Amino acid sequence: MAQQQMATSTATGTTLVEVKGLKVHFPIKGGLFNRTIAQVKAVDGVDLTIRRGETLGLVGESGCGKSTTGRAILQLIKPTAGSVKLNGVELTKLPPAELRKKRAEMQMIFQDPFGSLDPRFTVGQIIAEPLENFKRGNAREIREQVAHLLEVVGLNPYYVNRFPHEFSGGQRQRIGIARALALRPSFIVADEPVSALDVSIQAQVVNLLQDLQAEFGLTYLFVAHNLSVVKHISDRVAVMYLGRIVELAASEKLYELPLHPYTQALLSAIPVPDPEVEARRKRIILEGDVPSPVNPPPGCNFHPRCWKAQQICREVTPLLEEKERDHYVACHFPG
Amino acid sequence: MPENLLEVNNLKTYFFTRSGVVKAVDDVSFTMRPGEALGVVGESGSGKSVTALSIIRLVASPPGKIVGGEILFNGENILEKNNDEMTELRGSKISMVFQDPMTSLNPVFTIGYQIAETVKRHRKGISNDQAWQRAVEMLDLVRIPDARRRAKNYPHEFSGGMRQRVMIAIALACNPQLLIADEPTTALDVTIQAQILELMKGLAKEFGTALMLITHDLGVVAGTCEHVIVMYAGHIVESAPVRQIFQTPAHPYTIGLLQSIPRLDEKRGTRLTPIPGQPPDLSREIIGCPYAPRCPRVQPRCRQERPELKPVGRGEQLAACFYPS
Repeated sequence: MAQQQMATSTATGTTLVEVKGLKVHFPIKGGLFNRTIAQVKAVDGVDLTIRRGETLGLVGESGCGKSTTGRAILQLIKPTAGSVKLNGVELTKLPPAELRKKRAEMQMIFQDPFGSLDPRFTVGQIIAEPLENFKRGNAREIREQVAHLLEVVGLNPYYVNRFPHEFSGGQRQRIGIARALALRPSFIVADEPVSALDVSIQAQVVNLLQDLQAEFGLTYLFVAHNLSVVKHISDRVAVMYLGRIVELAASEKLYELPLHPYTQALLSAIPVPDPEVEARRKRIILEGDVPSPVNPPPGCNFHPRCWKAQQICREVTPLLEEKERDHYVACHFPG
Repeated sequence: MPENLLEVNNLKTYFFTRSGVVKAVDDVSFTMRPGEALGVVGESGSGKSVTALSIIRLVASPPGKIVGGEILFNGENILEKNNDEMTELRGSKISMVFQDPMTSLNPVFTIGYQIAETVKRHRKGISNDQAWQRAVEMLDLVRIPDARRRAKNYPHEFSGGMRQRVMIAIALACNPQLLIADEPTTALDVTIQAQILELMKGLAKEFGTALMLITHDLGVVAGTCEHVIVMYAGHIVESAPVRQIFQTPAHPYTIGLLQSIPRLDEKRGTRLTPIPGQPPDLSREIIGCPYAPRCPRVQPRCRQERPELKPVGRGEQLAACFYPS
């Protein structure tokens, strides 16, 4: 624990990932000649900096663009516009061969521990694949590395010749983590890494991710919809709504003093496993559903569900501004 | 009139598969009073859904079969009823809301038609017009805006949260005495989950409907239910009023669950205490307490004998453990 806190405190300050004006628009084709008739604005102008050694949590409801943001940062989806820098290198303009080399530094952990592992590969082959692709040693060295990686994620190296179906969800997620660690990346995007797991297993994986961060000095972008888990693991948290970041702050601060009405509603909607606390809490029940990202509302896109909305909210899009030190919010009437 | 609305005694529901007999629900007993909100908590495979499906007799058969026990609803044993009597009971006295609002509705009929159909099935002599009126009324009740017009819409024109409201409308259309909700908000976003829970709680109170809420989320239970049963590997391991479950949990599994979930109001730097290992394979014979291999307080006796659900000396609190805390 102390080791982990030191790792974060000594490392803060230097930026590892810098995202500016990131946009991902998906075309909707239709009509005559299959023209583009509309755009799904999945990510619509996201700015983020991720500091070396920290965990940045990215939360939001389904369809808010949090996963797309994670994938676009890793260039798994080509961004429509904007810039992504890893260690100062602009990724969006890199030629494919150069980008491929960069991929060793940035890896991903997926949500679905069932779909993300090839059922025809043994565990050893799955974890060895990135090492072979990047020519990290001869066959014997790779075998040794695989055995070591299995040990690191808490699996018995004896399992190396088994197939994914022989493992439980939690164990498969450990295999996925071992694969992501194989190339010793500095940056990992974890996309809902625990949400497919049972409650008693989630804690095992959350603790593993924290231990690995302390041991290898990893930087995480932790994408999830479960705010309790995100708050637990993250140093800072960014809240997304309909393709934009509406608030970003240290996780303690965001929880104690949320400034954006959406964050306030989101926090109040999360049930706390304590009937005493539940009885005392005031719940903000939001009306209606999240609007479609094909045709987002003008101005602040949260205004149709916001109880504070004024005329200006319907017309002018609020920018993400630093309202307090290290506390950013995109709202005309924060607080 | 019996005191209990529902009385489940020694229920056993097994699945006969090629790889062996899976004892999904193994000797489960509990009761529900009229109007009570009961939470059933457990992980996947703990038998909570199969318990619910057994109560309305919708266990897929084969491979599933209720092999023992009795389920008394208003004093009558549901397991002795024939198919016609069950059809009569389902939807009118007992109804169920499922997890997935996307596949629970028929895509080729309008929302209004599907609610009216339920009403007509159970109220003899009601006219089409009256049934439609009731459908619009129910949509209004579950707070679908502009219900009169929306009743003519098809399911695909509704969002996930709205479809779950429609399912609740159908379930409550005939004023049932028991509403079983199986993970009703798991597929929904948190802000929508809050809407749905608030709605179900409110309506159950208003109509005096007993609510059986099945969930893996302890937080949902804390804010919604009066009594909680915790299931593990086909057994009830603990049963207690909601406050006691959270304040003085007795079974090591309940304690383990509570320590392994991060809380929104926890202090910074708290480390989670995971439960080691995994739930047991139910197709194998389990000797002794099913939680013994993962239990931090395990004793030799736990590996030999199965503990019964017994009072732990704190009022209504029961636990199936030889060494409860």
